[in-house]
Amino acid sequence: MQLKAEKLSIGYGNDKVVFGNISLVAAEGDMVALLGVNGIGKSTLLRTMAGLQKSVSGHLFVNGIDLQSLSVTERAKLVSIVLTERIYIDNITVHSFIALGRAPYTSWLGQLSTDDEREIAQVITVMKIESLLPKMFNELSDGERQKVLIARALCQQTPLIILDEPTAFLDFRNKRAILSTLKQVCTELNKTVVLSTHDIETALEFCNKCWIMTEQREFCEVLSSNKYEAEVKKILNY
Amino acid sequence: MALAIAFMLQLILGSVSIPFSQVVAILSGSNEVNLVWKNIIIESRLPGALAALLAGAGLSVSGLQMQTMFRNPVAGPYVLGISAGASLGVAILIMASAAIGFGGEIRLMSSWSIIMAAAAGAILIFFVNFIISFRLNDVVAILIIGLMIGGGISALIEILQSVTSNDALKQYVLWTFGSFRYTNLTQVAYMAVVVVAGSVFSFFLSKPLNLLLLGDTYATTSGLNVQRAKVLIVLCTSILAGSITAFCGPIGFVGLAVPHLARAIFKSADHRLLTPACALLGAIICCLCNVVSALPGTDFILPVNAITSLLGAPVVIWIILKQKKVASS
Repeated sequence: MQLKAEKLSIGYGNDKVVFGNISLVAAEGDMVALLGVNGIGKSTLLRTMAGLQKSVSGHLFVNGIDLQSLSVTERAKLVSIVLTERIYIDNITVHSFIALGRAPYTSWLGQLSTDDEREIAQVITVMKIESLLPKMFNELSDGERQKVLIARALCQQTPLIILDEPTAFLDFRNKRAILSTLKQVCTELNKTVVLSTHDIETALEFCNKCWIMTEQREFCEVLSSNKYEAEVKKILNY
Repeated sequence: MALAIAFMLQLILGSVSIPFSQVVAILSGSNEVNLVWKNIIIESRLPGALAALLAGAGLSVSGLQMQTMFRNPVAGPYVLGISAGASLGVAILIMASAAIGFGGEIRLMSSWSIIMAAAAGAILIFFVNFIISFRLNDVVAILIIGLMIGGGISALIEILQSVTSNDALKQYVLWTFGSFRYTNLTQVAYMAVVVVAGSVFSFFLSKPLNLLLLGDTYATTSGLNVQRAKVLIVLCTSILAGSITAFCGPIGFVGLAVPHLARAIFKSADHRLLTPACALLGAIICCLCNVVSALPGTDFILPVNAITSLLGAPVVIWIILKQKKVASS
């Protein structure tokens, strides 16, 4: 799997460019942190990658396929997302919630096949959330909720997973737990993970590269390692 | 089972109490029955009972869809002003046709023209709500806007009333009380077609509805064509709520309260289970409300709308309190 863009401009409509001239490449097993100050266009870029909005110019390719040329259902088999937005659903069990991730593969009524059940069981094992299964989704703590949201995305079996500030509401321990699980998923299941964050130290520790959207409207890539922390902070003007 | 009991109670109880064995005999077409009782059952109680059953099922299913689509627990045909919209459609129809000297009696007018007028009114208001909910989606805001739309429409209806004849006015006012007993078997047959078709169609929409629980963004990235799904849901739910309101008048809070009861009883959010569950529970509750409204043993008949509202209003308060608790925790 490869995520690729050349000279991509993101924004709204035909002319309102939020951020231009983005070139990027990510490969299987890459875990990428997307950094930048508030309002620079991180979410817009993630939304464009998820196919939720069109690019102003340029294209995004997953495995050489132009994302915009696909139908919603086909795209749902390539890209899945995890958002920060709080979800409140009355009386839904953790299992049913995770099972919703199978939607692109199930029939018109959403009936789970044995293959679907097997995939769900596998994801539950990988995420180590067996203990959460008897619970209702609304009873979960923030950290548990995040794990379940990631499990739902994993059930979609997409090569690319996009997360919008997955660590935003978490304490230090949960932050590390989530990122290390993501790291493990990334390498074990050969996924490409792109996540936005403001937490530079943890990002550098777990991600293998960073994409930085600078205030000078430059898009740069830095290989991740703690020794670059000062450099990254300088670019970001923190 | 509970439904069967509630349904039979409607036939047995009323201003005149008819023994269970006689009701069974009449329904099975036996000739050795009291003719007066037979008339009461066949002409009045049976259509009323069937209408209650259908209205309860249809309104609850439509309420369930609205709550999911708006992601708003207080959404429902009555609260969102859909019933008010249907009322407006019917008011315009009744009064306009009275004004041009075309049939005064609501029962003489074509059932389909009433359905169409009510559904048109309902769809119109639903779309207004739909557009507003795109701009702000807040539980209380939608509730207030629904009330305001309802208030505005009541005002329009009052204006219409003050410029039309007494007969048309009286007929309209009777309609607004909400009742299952002014229906006849032909109308019930029409209702049955709409409610059964609407409920089956809603069941087919289970997968989109389940995905919409997650919100538009997740639904889209899960492969759902959100726009198309919402148009189908809007159509389905306004036809259900609109046509039921046309036949039975506005029946408040059933569509709002029943989905919450169903979710709480069945501990599920899956529409494949909730749609039939809501239909069943709604039917039972409306049948019971119909029994209560007949005030068994007396000659009085209470407006059904008053009874459902008495039962439903506390449910809304309970939901708001529950929401606030979740938000602050």
